[in-house]
Amino acid sequence: MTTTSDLGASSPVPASAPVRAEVRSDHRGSWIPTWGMVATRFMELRKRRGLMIALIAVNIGIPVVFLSVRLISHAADPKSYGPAGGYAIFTTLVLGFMYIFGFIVAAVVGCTAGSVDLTEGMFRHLVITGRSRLALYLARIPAGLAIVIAMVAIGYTIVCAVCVFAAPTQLNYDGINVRPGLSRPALDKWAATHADEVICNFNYNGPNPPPSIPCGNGQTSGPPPGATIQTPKGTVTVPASESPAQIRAFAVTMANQDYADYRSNFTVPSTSLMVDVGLWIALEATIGFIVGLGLSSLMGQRTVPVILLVVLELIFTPIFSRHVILHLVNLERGIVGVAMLHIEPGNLPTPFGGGGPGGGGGGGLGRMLLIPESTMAASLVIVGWLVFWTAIGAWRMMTRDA
Amino acid sequence: MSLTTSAEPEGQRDSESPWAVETHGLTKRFGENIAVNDVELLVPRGSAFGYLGPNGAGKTTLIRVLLGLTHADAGTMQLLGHAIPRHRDRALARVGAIVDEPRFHSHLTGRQNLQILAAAREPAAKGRVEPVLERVGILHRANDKVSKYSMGMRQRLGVAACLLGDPQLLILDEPMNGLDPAGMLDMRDMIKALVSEGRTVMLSSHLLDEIERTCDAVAIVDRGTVIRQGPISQLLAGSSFEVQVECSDPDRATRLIGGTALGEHVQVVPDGLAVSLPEGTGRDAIAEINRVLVEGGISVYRLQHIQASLEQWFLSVTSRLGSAK
Repeated sequence: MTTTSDLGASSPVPASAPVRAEVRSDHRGSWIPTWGMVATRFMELRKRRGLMIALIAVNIGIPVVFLSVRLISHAADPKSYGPAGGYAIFTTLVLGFMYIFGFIVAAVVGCTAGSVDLTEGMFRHLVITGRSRLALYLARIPAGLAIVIAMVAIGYTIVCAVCVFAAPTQLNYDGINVRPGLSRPALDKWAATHADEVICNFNYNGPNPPPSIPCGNGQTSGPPPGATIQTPKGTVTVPASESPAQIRAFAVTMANQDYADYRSNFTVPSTSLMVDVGLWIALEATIGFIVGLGLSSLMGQRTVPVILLVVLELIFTPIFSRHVILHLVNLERGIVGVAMLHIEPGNLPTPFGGGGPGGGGGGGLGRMLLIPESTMAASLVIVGWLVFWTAIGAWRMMTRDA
Repeated sequence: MSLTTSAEPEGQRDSESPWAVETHGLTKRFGENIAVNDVELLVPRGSAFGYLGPNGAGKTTLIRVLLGLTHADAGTMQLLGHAIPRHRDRALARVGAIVDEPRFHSHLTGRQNLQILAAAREPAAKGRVEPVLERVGILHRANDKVSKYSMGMRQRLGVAACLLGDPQLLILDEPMNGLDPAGMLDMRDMIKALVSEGRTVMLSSHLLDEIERTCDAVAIVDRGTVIRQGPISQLLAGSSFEVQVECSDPDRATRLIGGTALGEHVQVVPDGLAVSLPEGTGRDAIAEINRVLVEGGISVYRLQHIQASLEQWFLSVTSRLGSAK
């Protein structure tokens, strides 16, 4: 129990004579935050249990659960369940989940970092220390990013590891298992030896109809022998039968036609692709954090900024990235999510849907659906958002009544 | 009037000014409402200074302006000789303050909250976390989350936060709020101990009794304006006082005194008479009352000089101002 004498006791912190030298040397008015400020701000965020659970669940927990289920399923019944990893799983997890929800969780962390001092009454204590308000604001950036980026990195590393080490040994291309990474002659040679499968399954876009081969279930690969069909070159009568050599030649033609698409499919994401995508996801999370920090600092609260950023990411970005609105196209290009899609590495399938040749739908066609924007313009938009929201948040922090 | 700061050479005046707080013409408006109105305030160093006023008088607003939490619209101010806001960082380095109810990150422990604040101060502040926790008597609860603290413990933590900077000036806004009698006693003793160490404590409160018990000097504020300031003893010395008379025949005594110049403020009370004497009346008036009664054949059993309390004085001053307006 505390007694009166406890409180009135001689001070462990006696009043000292004016310590002008010390005060002058601690750079209290400097805009640069000290290491201690960053470290304690990091601690403050890290100790928020609910926030950390959400962060870990989205960036680590859900991918781990998803991959674990696939690993167990494949181990139990390899014929029914494909390998847990591989390029297709990589693109699905990274682009369909980590990219979008990584942004949202980073935004929540940013909104928390930007508003809790104010809402929980610590802002006043901090301002009374005499420390530069700008330094108080800037200390939140490395502290918050250290948490967000670390979580993204851990989750992403797990995803990459599983996708590499549990990747399929065969590439499933257009429904057929093909060895990955074949050269054009090697693919031609393979097509010649698997002519029926190639003709029945590969995409074909040529003037002559494919030979009629039974493809199972009563289906054939082309019109029946003797039939008359219209082609761009005119009316053609399908030969009564084609020799095995002709069939093989046709399969090679089809393989040649699809080679570029085949080469854009992988069983395993390459190292360079994983590095590029990792940096891209980290940038997306950084944007989410910085924008959340600035917006919540501006508004002085957390809930509304979080809602606004979720709406931006889940509603506005998918719409504005694909639908050109006349007179507003430059505004659409100015949305950071649209700009981020334009600098997506490796011609991957784009988030928010879109089809294409890569890994089960994406890349090329996804890109074609995006509103046009140069890489330079997209980069400027991203830098602009980072600078603008940092400046806005810092300005509000410096001018706000505490 | 515009907000100006006095010219001040770099690094000077920290110990030169005799005033811990000095304001001239300080004004803060919220739209049409003037919360701080042309305040001239001088808080001597090393004193316990009360800033006394009713709720809504502008006490907290003045403190917020002094600490740079909000800007002033006009006037000049200095803390520990440093002009605010020009040398705010240098001044606040030696200032600790509680403004309104002390609030902290409730998910962190008391120690962790202090570590955050210490990190924003000079490097030496980090080493003061444990001593200040011990001093305010919550070291044994330092590892508990603030959400589990009582109001009194939060007040103590607020004082601990103030002490982190080894302050020469502490500004405490309503520090007794929410404290039980034992807590108020502890806080009062702590304030006295801080003053005895040579620190200046500026205490804002509407609790007149606490100010009277704790402070040496006081400023009375009403509707944003400082209407009196000075040492409490001096302020009360010039105030009206009352003489209570216990005698053998109160009714006749009333008539006797009523026939003199003192007779305007005499009334019979259960124990005898009460004679109210106006401001500036000397102690000779008491002897005069005694002489009149004795010469009138009335036995006088007791004459008691009752000095007006700060509360009575405060009410008389503020009500007089209120009626004048």
